[in-house]
Amino acid sequence: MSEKDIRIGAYVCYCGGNISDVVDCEQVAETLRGLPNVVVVRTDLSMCSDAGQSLIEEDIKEKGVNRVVVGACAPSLHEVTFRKAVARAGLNPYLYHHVCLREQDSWVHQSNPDEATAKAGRLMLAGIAKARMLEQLDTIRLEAEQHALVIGGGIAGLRTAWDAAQRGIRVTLIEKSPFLGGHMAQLETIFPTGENARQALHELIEKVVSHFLVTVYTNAELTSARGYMGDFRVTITAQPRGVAEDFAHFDEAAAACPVEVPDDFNYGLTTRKAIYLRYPDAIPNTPAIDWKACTRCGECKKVNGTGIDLDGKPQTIDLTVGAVVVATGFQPYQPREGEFGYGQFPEVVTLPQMIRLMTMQEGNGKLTWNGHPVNNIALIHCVGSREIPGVHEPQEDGRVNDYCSRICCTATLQMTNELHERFPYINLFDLHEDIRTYSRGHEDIYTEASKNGVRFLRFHGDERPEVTAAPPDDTSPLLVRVKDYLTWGKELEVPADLVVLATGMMPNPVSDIVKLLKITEGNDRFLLEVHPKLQPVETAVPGVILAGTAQGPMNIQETCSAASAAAAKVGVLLGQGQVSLEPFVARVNHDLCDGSGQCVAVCAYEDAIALEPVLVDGKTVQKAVVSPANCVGCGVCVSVCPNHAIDVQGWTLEQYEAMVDAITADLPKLEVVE
Amino acid sequence: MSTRIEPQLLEDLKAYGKVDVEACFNCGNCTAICPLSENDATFPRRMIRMAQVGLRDDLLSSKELWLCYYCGECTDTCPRQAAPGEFMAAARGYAISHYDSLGLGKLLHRRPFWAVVFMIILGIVLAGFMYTRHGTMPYDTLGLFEFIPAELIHNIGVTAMVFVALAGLWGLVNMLRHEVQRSGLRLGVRYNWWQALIDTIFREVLGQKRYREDCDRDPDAPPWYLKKWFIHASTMWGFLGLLAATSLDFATALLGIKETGAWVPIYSPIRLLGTISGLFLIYGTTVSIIKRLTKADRSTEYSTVDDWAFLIMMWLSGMTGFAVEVAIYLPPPQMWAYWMLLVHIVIAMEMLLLIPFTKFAHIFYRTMALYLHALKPIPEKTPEPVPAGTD
Repeated sequence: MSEKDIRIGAYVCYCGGNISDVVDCEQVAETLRGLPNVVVVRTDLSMCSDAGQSLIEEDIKEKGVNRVVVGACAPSLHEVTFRKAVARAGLNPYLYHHVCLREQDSWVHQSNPDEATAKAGRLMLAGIAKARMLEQLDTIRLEAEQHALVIGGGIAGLRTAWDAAQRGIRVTLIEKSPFLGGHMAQLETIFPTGENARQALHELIEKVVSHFLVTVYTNAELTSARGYMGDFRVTITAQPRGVAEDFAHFDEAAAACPVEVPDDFNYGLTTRKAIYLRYPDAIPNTPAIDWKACTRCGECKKVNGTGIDLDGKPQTIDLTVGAVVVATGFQPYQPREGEFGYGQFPEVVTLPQMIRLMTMQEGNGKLTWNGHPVNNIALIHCVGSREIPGVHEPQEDGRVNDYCSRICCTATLQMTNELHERFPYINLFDLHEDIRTYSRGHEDIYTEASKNGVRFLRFHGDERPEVTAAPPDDTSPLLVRVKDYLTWGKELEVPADLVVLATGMMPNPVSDIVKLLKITEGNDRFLLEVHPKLQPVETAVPGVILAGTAQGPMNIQETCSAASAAAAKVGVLLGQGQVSLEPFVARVNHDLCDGSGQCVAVCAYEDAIALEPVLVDGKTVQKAVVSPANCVGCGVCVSVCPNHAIDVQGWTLEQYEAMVDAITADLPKLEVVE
Repeated sequence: MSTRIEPQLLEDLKAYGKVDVEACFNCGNCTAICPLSENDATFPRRMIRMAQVGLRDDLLSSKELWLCYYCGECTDTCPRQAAPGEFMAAARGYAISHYDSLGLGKLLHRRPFWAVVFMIILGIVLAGFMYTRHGTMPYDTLGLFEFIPAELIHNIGVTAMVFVALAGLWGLVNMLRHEVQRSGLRLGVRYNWWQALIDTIFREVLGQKRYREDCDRDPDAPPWYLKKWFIHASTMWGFLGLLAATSLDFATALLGIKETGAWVPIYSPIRLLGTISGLFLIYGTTVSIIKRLTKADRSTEYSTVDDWAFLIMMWLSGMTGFAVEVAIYLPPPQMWAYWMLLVHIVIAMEMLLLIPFTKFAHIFYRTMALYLHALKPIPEKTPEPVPAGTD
């Protein structure tokens, strides 16, 4: 297309007064009239209205306009709207340029309308200059595998798997441990509904595992991953279970097993054998061998020769999936030895341990611990949460958990209510920095605790309570000293037969997965989303999606919301069987490229640009080649190329130069306003 | 030095009235609305907190307990329905019971049924004791003190007053034991001892300054004779006036000026003082009883046996006394007046005896609290600063 065939339509939007109250839109339009290649100039009260869009469509069809420039609001709002209008009229949608006259001009220069009008003119002129050089582009379309890999068999992974499968997407769910359910299986009564955690969980698990689109691997981990959205090639390595599904002698085998390890299901309060079921009705309901603990002594096999295999080999599964959902969950904060007396006094337990302890305590008579009657319980909030750098001892990696873990306040109060219901004679002391029962129905839990006579004591974050041994003649083994700011900073002494530490949430250590998928973690070690508000479940890697507490502290309800959002996102990405990407990616001009490889060196994205052998004049030479699916169009390669061989499509250097020239040129018509 | 938390205190307090302060989350709205809150007197939140964590000594030594006139605004504004006003009333009952070492206060406050039984038995014993010593009932003149000898009344009365004074003093010592430590009164510092005493007695006790100016913000703005402070003052003035008239009558008898029971005209000064005071007492107690019966406002919505016993005894002693006085000025024979006198003396004596153990004890403790509150160190005179040079 030669220069004289270019027919530009320029439109200046009033934005219902948002722009026109400051900028003299008519004068701007006047400035544009008669410029080379500009065949139509219009103003309108609202270009984005149906009528405004029709104007563009009609001009394309009837006046032969083949480049469109609209000066209006920010491109994030309506660029796509106008591209679609252009496409409806039969023109390539990338022959459109959007000029921002509102956020960049009228809104910020309200006190200076004359200058704002001049600026609007220059911005439009720059847009028109770029429009002359626009070229047809096509969206990048990639085949997408309608199959999602969900990492993590806790409530987040299960919920994601269910929702995605319901949307018709095939799901492979992998769980690192031999049993499904994650931490939710270790809970009993869940707030605010008061349901039984495992019952609710099992209903979901049953649905997920029996869904025809879902495949579940337990004892399985992600061991390699490459590719891009729509086409990830992943390898899963599954450890053998060691026990056959029809093995019917578990009790004898467990009795025979000489290895005894702390039972992590009860957070170390009890022990279990190396052959174990997580809990009696755990799913899958087949026992498993704990390979870390098992000495392969073979005692278990002696009870019944068949059904146990201690020599199984790991199985690897290669899959192509369109998206990966990371639902790797959390681990409760593990207090340091001596932190609030933890590990030092047997009477100090964590809240997760206390939840298990309550189940192990039968009946509603008297609560005992370590053989002692329990009459006074102190519950301390914010253990391993809201720590202050420089005040609290950092962890091994030098960091402190400065974030709020969100769940512990309500969980602690829920615990006091359960304690009060079962053991009403116990004095309950709640030591907190703040109480944040933020979610619907949670305040009722606080109110109930308050009515139950729980004594609330409030400390400052830098003056946390101190747990000490009581003198031998005291009625309770421990004394908790706290400077209580509700009692005007007086130091109070709380007798305690049991101290419960409301430990916060930390992400499970998943650095291997982070590395494999090239996602990022935040300063708090939780996995990072692209935008906390507007893209809350997407990572910076397209096609890798977050679900649940891997991303930050959440309760079950929030986890399910996040998981459903992740599944919806999977549906959006893979639902059509193909993925379309914007064409604004790097493009190499092989006539200019000399294969220096500088672009490859600076590129921050895996497999986005590489040197590949290319046949030129019968000779094979190394040239840079872009993989559009992996390129994000950041332009770093453009800046380092010594030969100006690279451009980002839709934003070429030539286009930029033309825009800059237009902005800085003398414009007699506009100087009038000065 | 840390203080041990004592959850039992809150449980103990519950026996003394409506205590719902578990619901309190220490927001301080009650302190903000309280017309009496000052920089050094932030209540009722502070007292509630003492109860929540079990600072028994601090609670017992809080003069703020006694400064409160129970206007009920804190209860109205409490976002948690923790009823701070009712709590303060219960805490005063608790304090009265604990300043008293005889245990009678505890019985009267904590066991409403036995309190009533005790008061009835005490009345019967007093009546029986006096009846066994009764004389004749003259028919032609109203010889009241021939029926019940004046000497007997005087002796019992003086004994009762001494007992009440000792019990009250004992209670005050118990109250001050903690308060003096806490208030930081120091030897070697000059205080406004006399000024504070005069202010307390005339402006606060008799003049009801705080009640009148701060604690009576009834939005309905009733006429002055229905204002809470006036009803309270009317009762108190009546009581004090009658106490004064009785004492003066006794004094004139001791001095031989006038024999007890001798007829005097209604306008004789002591009789006039007694009559007017009696009318004030009857007015104050009658209105109070009506307000409690109709639960007229926040402060009368919740009544304990203590509240009732106190009011009814005052009202009855006022009414019976007035009836006897009417009988004196009616032509004889008024034979019912002899029995009326017996009832009057029994009730008045019983009321007197129970002062240190019932709500009535606030006449000691509130006065003392007001006095302590009025006490301020007199600043040392510092030399006048030399005016800055003018050059």
